[in-house]
Parts: sequence; structure tokens; C-alpha cells
Amino acid sequence: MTEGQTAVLAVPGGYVARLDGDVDRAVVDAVEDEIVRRTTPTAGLVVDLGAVSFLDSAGVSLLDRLVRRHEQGGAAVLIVAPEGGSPRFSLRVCGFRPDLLANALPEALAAIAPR
Amino acid sequence: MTAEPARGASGPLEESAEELYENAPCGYLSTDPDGVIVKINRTLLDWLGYDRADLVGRRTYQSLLSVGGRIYYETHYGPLLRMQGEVREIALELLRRDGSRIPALVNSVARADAAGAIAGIRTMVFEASSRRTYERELLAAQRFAERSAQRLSVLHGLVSDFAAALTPEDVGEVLVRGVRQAVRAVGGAVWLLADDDATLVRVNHAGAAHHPLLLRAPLDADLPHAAAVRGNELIQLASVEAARRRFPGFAEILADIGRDRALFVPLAVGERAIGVVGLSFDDTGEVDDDDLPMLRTLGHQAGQALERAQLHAEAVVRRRQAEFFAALSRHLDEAPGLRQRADRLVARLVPEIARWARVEVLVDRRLTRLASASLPVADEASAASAASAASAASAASAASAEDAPDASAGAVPGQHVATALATGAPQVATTDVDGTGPAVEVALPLRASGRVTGVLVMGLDGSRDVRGRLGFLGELAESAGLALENGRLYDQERENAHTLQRGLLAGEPLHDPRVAVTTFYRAAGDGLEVGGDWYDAFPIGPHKVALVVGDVVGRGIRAASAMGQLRSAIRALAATGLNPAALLERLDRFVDRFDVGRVSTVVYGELDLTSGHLRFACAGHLPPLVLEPDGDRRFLWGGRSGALAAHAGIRSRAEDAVRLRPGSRLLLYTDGLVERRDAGLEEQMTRLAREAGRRRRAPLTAMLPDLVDALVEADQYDDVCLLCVRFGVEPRFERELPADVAQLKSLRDDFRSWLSAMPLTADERDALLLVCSEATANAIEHGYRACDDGVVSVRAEVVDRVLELTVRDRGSWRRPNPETDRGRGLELIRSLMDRVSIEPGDCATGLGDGATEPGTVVTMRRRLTWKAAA
Repeated sequence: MTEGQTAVLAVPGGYVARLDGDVDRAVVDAVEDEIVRRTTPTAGLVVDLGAVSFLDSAGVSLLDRLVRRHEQGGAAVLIVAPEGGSPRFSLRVCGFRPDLLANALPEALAAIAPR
Repeated sequence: MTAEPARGASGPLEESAEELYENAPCGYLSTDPDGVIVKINRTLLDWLGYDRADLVGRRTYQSLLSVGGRIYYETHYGPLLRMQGEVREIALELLRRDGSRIPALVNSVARADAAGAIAGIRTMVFEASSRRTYERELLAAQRFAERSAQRLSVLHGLVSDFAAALTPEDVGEVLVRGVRQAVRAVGGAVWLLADDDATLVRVNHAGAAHHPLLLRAPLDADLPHAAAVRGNELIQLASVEAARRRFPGFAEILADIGRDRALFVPLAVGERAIGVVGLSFDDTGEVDDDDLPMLRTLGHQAGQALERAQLHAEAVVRRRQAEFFAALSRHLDEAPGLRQRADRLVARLVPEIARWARVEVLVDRRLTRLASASLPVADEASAASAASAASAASAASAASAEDAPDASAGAVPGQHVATALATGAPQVATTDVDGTGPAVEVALPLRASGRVTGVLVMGLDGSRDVRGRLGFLGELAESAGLALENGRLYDQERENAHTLQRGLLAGEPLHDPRVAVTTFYRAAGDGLEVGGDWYDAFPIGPHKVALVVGDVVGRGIRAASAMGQLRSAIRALAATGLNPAALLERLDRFVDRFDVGRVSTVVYGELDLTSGHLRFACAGHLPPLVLEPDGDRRFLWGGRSGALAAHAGIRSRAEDAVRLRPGSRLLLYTDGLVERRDAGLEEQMTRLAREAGRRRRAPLTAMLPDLVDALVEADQYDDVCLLCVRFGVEPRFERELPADVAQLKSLRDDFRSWLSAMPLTADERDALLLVCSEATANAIEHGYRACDDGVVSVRAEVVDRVLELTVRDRGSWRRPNPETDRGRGLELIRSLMDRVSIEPGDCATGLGDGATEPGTVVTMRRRLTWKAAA
């Protein structure tokens, strides 16, 4: 599995960035470049960590920067990190805002879709 | 004097003196001392056309002379006569009555009286018309002979100069210099027919006009030099007026540079002109009709010299080109793949041929740049001008100016490239974007099997004739296109074989905490063809795994396919519950029956996950290596027999068994790992044991590539295939890894595997993984800020349900700063662990001499809940 592989898709209301493998400090720069290049801060963003096996503090910082970018752009951001998964644990211990977290992709997509 | 003397009264031989005087074949004239005519004979009167009465007593002798003669009479003739009494053979001109002149030679004698004074003068006149004509002819002939001799010597001089001329330019130079001098022309120029036989190009000139029409003109142009070549005729324009009538355009140029006349001499080989020398004159020049044949001859001589020089130059150029092409194709052939060949091509072209070059090929109908190279911009000034030119242009051309300029600012960038692709014909565009002077960019289509597959773009010096070199450049593109196509085919074939091989090697991962398997495959350095090396690991029942590494003789698709068949056969035989020796015997029969993979070598082992028992058999294969957690290492030399179905090999198969301790690593490998050109097998196996032993604590997945790097040369001629098994769970987790964050994942994988043997909750497992990763990352990032070859040690152990994790670096000790990442990472660690201590790593170096190493030791403890289910 290629670590930190990133796929960005356009969805109603913004984008979904689907990450893969281990997201740690060895790959965060490449992941961030890819997401920033393919999305705009004024559109909604869902970061799907459903396939991520590990998230370290550098990965949490990356998510923090993405949240700031899109909230400042006036758009909604959601992080999909299923309960019981390793990324969810990392986000929790780092004190990530619970309102930004979703358990599954559909609820996150609904949250950014235009009403 | 009153009457004419009678004639013929006596016989012809008895003429009277008077008769003789009057009708003598010369003129007689008597004057008084002042020159007044007193007597004159009939002969002279007839010559002059006067009657006697017109002259006698009325006219002086002097008055019958031309002006020049009269002056001569006053200054020389008269005084000499008075002093010497006579003058002889004076050449004078007498005036006839009608004003015309009679050239004459005269003798005069003064007649003295008794007192010695001049009493009269007697003059005899000889008519000298014919003599003067002759003399004039004589003089002219002499002058002609002199000019001829001069022309001949010019001609000889030029001909020997021609003989020494090696290149057409040399001939041109000789012509311009020599002919201009010979005929005192002010300007001279030589044009030659270009290779296309339709263009005249000026190769040499001196004192000639600088007009674009004169630099290069089509052969059918309405210009005198073109006309001279077309008709192989000498063209003389005797005046600007004459020029205006025939070549109005040229007349203006001639007048502009203040010349009166011009002459164009074709340089001919046989009946065909291959060039022309042009001469222009002001009024000091001297060329007359007599010179024309000489010039014509010179034109022939020059034509021959040119042809010879051209042949010579062509031979030299051909030889150089042939040498260049041979060297180029040798150079390209050394690299097998498309991209490597493209890189080599541009590196070869710059600067030898071009200022910049790039290769672009069509991939899915889009041009993709494969390689580019360019000369560095000469100095800062030109760099600045190039930069400003680029910034003034569009963003697109600014981007391209970084490596090579695309096209002239005026033209549509890349238009010539697009045209070359569309038409398949070379295209030329002028440019000076790189700030080093005028240049042309040539886009040459690259072909393969009749299709245009890409384009070779080269920036050439603009001051040289590019169109004349298109033939050579076309050949260059031809051979480059061929080499690149072969490179592409090679890539494709290799990709196919590798895809097949990858498909055959891919196996489902083992999900069992009691064992971890990692594999590594590296193709031979030349990458030419896939080899027949393979590895395999698969479960046999719930508590056993089979481990295989083998090597099929040969390379390429056939070897890959044989490898696939052996691999499947082993899996099928293993499922029947045979022990390793029996399995190899069956495999021999399989090879014999289907004749695939004969003399392949293979090592087959079965590892019991509950006990660590390994039963194995080696068919001609190198012995497996066991690495114990405490550092012991040994090759497994037992269970050996010959290669598969080898006629000379030992057919009775042997097997052996060993017991692996938890945490041991077992390494299976192919001979590519230990065969080296510069070292013996035994020596290399010793090295393998040493290098592998040093890495026994490396994170498992990172271990194999690192080991191959340490043992195998980059240009290794054989494939390398490795399989490493970590058996069981070591009681104490110990890893050492280089200070590289890319190794963190491998460390976590091992740690996760180690933790998986313990009855932990998901949160505990996640917490310990996160802590291990963060603490190690801190050590990497902060312990080795100044150097990057450091090693980080990670240790974990459970004592009385307390997990103690220690991360040690040997970087310079720094007191933790809560404001930095390390501080924040530490906060996270502290929130997840019960106790955290950070100390300077004054630990023993292990050298036993009491020395200590600097560094930081972070020790973290957490009490585990220890699920009851365990």
C-alpha cells in the first residue's frame, strides 16, 4: 500500500479527500500539497480517514490547517474517522473538536452538501 | 620656274636633274633663313595639296607644321640647325591644306654665305605614315604582350593559390583577393550554389555591398550574379545605366555604394556554373575586352578548384558526420530505456552541436518532454536580459525559459514544433530568447515505423547557415528516432515481463501474530530482462507456514513463466502434506515430465508457528541464514542436494531441521545477493552474515532494501530476491533505525506486531503505537538536527504488567522546550503514559572502557490493563 496516497473528488458542495495507509510526518507534506492544489478554501471539504491505519501528531496538525483554511474561507469541513479506528484515537487525544468529526462518509457528505 | 620641265625627251635613264628634283620620291623644300619657302618640289606639293603659288614666297616652313611640330621647331629644330648646320630624321607632322596630317621624317641642312651666316635652308621630307602605323602597332603589341604576361602571372598565381585551397571558402577568399587586385576592382564577392541547387549564397566578399539580396538569393532571381550562373555566361554591366536596363534592383545597389561598373564571371565546371565571382568598379578600375577571356579562364580554374574543395570538404564533413553518428549510436545503445536514451541524446548534442536541445514525444497524443539540456547562460548581464525577456513574455514562455527558450517572441510559441509534428518536415524558427545572440530553433520530427512519434528540438547558432545543415540534422533525427524507438520498445517489453513477474510474485499476506514475513526483489542493474528468481510464503494448515525462495535458470518471459509453474507446483505439493525432501523429489518428477525449470535451485522450508521448528531442504540453493535476537547468526548448511532434475545432481533429497527462538529472523535469498565480480562467494557470505547481523534490530520491512544496498553493486548483473521471516514474539522489543522519518512506518509495523501478542485494548494499542511513533520522531528530528547518519534505538519490555518504552538517540543533549514540537509531542506522550523521564544519555558506549555517549534517553511507562481474555 502506498502511504499517504490521496484521492480528491468533487462532490456537491465541495470536495472529498480520501487518504490511505499511514499518515505521518514522512508523508504529510505531499498529502497537503495534493489537497491544497486540488481544492479551493471556499468550497466544503470532507477528509475521509476511513482507510487510514495510523495518524500521528503531524497528521493531526495537517487536519488542523485544513480546517482553518476552509473555515476561514467560509466553508464547512468534516473529518471522517470511524469510532474504534486508530485515527479517531489520535484525534481524540489531541483534543480535536468533536463537531468536526464524522463516523461515516455519507453523514459528512450531507453536512457539506448545499441545502 | 616658269615652265614645267619637259618629260621623256630623253630616255628614262637620262632624266634631267630638274625632273628628278620635281618628281623625287621625297619632298624637297628650300627656305630663306626665316623659313619663308623659296622653292618646293611637286612631290611635296602633291602630298600637301597646295599649288606652288600658294606657298612660294608666301608661307613659312614652320606654318606647315602641326602645333606640336612648331613648338619643337622653335625649341629644338631651329636652334640645332643654327648650331650644327643640319638636323636629321626628325619626326614631325605636316599639315595638309585640308587640315589633315602627314607624319614625316625630315632632314634639314643650312646653307651658309661667305660670311658664315645662314643664307638658306634645304629640307628633305620623307612621308612616314606607314612607318608610324607600324611603330604604333609595335608599341601596342608590346603593351599587349606586357598585359598578357601580367594576366598570365595573375592567373598562375591564382591557380597555385587555388590548388592550396582546401575549402570552398578558401577558394572564395583567393578569388576575391586575387581578382580584385588583378583588375583593380573596388568590390568583390563570391557566391556559390547551395546544396539545394536553387539558392546562391555569398561565401566571401570584400568591399562589397551589404544588401540582403546579395547575401542569399534564389537562383531564378533577377540579379546579375544569378543570371551569370543560370546562363553560365559572363555578364558585364558597363555603367549604372546599363545595369538599370537589365537589372534595375541591382543597379540601385551599385549606385548606392558609388560604383560605375560591375562584372560577373561564372565559376564553371564544364558547361555548368556552380558559382560566380562579382566585381564592382569605380572609375579607377581597368578592365577591357582583352581581360574578359582571362577572367573567363579564371572562372573555369576557380570552378574546378571549388568542385575539388567541395568534394574534399564534403568528404571531411561526411567522415566527421559518420564518426559522430557512430559515436552517438554507440553512446545511446549503452542505455537501454527510452528516458535514459533521451537524456544521453541531449547531453551529447549540447554543446557539441546545439546551444540547447530537448526531446519531446507523443504520449496519448500529447507532447511530453523526456529530456532537455542547454548551455548555461554566459554571464549575469545576459542572464538578466534573458530573465527580463522571459518575464515580459507570457507565463508560459517564462516557464520554458528556465530550461530552454521555446520560440521567438513574435511567433506563436511552439508553432514550429506543432508544424513539424503535423507535417513530418523539419521546421526552423528564429529566436534570441536566451540572450546569447541570434539563434534558430530547429524542430526535427522523430519517426518510428513511418509515424511521427515526437520531435527533437535544437537551438543552433543563428549566424550559421541552418538550411544548408538540414540534411545532416535530418539524418541525426533519423538515427535518434530509431534509437529512441528501440528504447521505447525495450521499456515496453521489460514492463510486460515485470508485470508478469509481479503478478506471479504477489501472494496474500499472512495474518498471524506469530510470524512476520517481508520480501524484496531487485532487478539486475542493467534491467534488461526479468530473471527467474522468486519467493513465496503461504500457510499450510493453522500452525505452519511454507517458505520458498528459488531461482530458475535463464531470463526473460520464458524464465518468468517457468518460475510461475514451479511456484504453483510447490504450492500444490505442499498442500498434500509431504515433508520437504519428499516434496523436492516430486518436484524433480514434475520438471522431468514437463521439462520446465530444469536445473533451477530452490530452498523449501516449513515453519511450525507453535514450536519454532523449521524443516527445510535445499536443492542446489544457497543456505538460509538465521539471525538470533542476541546477535548469534548461522547459515543452515544441512538438508542439501542438487539442483532440480539436474542430470548430474544428487537425486535423493535430504532435509534437516532446526529450532528458531522467538524473535529470530530467517533469511532466504538468491545468489544475486552474494555474487560479486570483485569478491569470492565465501567472502561475500561472510559479509552477508555480518551485514545482516548488524541489521537484526532494524525494522523488518526496512531491513532488506538496506541490506541489498550494503551488499550489491548498483550495476549488479543478476536479480536479487530475498525473503525474511521473523518468528515469534521476542520478549524484549529492540529496534535500531537510521534517523529517517520514512522508517517510522516500518518501526510501527514491527511494534504493532509485537504488541499484538499481548492482550491489550484497542485504545491501549493505539496509545502505545502513537507514543512509540511520536517519541521516535522526536529523537529523529531533534536528536540529529546537525547530522543525518545517526541511529535511534527503541526498546520495549513488559515487566509486571508495566510496559516500559525507551527511545534513545545519540544527538547532542537538549533540555526539552515546551514551546517546540518536541514539547507538544511530549505533552501528548505524557497524556498517554503514566510516567515519562527525559535524561542525558550518559550511557556506556558498550566498548567496556568506561566511555559514555551523549544523547537523550526518553523512558516512558504505562501500566497495562491486561485483558482477562488472554
